[in-house]
Amino acid sequence: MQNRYCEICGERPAEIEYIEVIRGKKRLLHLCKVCAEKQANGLRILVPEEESEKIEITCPECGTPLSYVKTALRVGCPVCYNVFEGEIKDLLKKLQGSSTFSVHEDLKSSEEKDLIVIKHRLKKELEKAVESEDFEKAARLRDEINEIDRRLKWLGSNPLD
Amino acid sequence: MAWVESFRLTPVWWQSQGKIVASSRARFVRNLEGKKFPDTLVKEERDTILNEVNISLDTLVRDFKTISIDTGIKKEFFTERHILNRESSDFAFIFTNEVEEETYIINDRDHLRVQITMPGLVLDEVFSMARHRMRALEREFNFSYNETFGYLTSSLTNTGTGLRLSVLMFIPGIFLARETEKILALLVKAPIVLRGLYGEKSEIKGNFIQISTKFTLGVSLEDSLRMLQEVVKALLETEKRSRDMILASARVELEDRVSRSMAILESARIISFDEALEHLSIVKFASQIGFEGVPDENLINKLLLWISPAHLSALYSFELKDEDMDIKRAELLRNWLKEED
Ligand SMILES: [Zn+2]
Ligand SMILES: [Zn+2]
Repeated sequence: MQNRYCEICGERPAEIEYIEVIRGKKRLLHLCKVCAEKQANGLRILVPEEESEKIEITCPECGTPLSYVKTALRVGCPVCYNVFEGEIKDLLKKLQGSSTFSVHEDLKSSEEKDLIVIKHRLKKELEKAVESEDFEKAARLRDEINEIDRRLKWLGSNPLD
Repeated sequence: MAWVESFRLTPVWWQSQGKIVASSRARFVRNLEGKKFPDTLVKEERDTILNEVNISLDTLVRDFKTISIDTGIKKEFFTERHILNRESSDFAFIFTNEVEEETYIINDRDHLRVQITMPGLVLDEVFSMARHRMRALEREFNFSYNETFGYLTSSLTNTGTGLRLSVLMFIPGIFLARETEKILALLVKAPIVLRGLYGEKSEIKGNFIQISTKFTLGVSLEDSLRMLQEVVKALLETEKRSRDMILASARVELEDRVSRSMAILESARIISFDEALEHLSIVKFASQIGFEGVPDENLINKLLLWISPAHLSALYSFELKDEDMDIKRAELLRNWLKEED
């Protein structure tokens, strides 16, 4: 709306929206005050944007407004998740097909599997290092493999950890 | 600019990337308990987080290089290197190992992002490695978590597990065989996210696509892995079929395209990034299927990185004028391709 000139005189800035009705068809004109007064009814004074904005809920911790969360799909802090809990659940439902974290996993439960995968990879790297006679790297890789073996052994003897 | 010295080399995972599945990645995002996310922090608060995380990383991992992202050109450079993305913040701090396969990003949109990237189709490996690192980090930090939503992240697309698994795929066969529409329609229905070469908010070009897991809520980590693996497997098979089909029914047409692309790359005096990418991509395909007269794929991969705008500028100490970019890019292509003969 800013920097727009009156559509009748073209000289003064447009400050008013005017709905013109000609043979049943509506047309929107942006006019200056002077030209608008010369026209009949159908006037609407333009309200500056700040005033027309509704009062919005914002997060008391970080100041993030709900409208931002809805459009950017982002929040500003952990407290946002409490303040906008209902809205976030709706958004997550749409975005992810689920609104809550139903699968609670402990990273510990997968440690053994991960260590075996990593060990396998390190062994392949070790072969390559030996092949290319990079003994410094080979020594380091051996250390890492030993470390993993120790951990695996420990996990094996403590299955409940 | 001295920082470029540490990033002079092409990362090995990029240079010797896999053929159809170029690379695999696992990424976790986490935030420290009781702290606002980086976007709503002031600089001093962000610095506090950076120091706290940095000290722990220093003791956890060795031989790392670090860089603070404080200019637009750095952000672009590390986006081209697949460490940051178009949605990254303007104040991220990167902590990465020598080969850039293990990367920690502090104060991007979340306090901490852990990325493990390796060449080829190795989703199991990157996933295990990432979980292994997260276990160590969980001993050091209390991460923001609640029973309803799981791990709390700045983006609602990460809420829950904070995990994203992804692969970068090179699928010229599918694009050339005009199977694209069919494939894209399939991908839209699959539980994955399709992106371009540089990840978030980037367009699909150069016959590269990135596909990644979509759900971080209501799905176990293992199930995310399996879902992605299935889609990758289907794509891989389609790509192989398309390649066979092209070679069987349109070999001469392909040879024609490859020769023309080589001629342009070897003789152009002015060339845009998009044009160079398109031709390099065709030549990369030709190299993969054993055509004569095309460069080694490693060189093509290297070129694919260094013709991108920020990397090209880096070769000229970032003093390259906009109007000289396309000229210097053509020069780089001619020189590097000539050296190979
Ligand atoms: Zn007027
Ligand atoms: Zn908040």
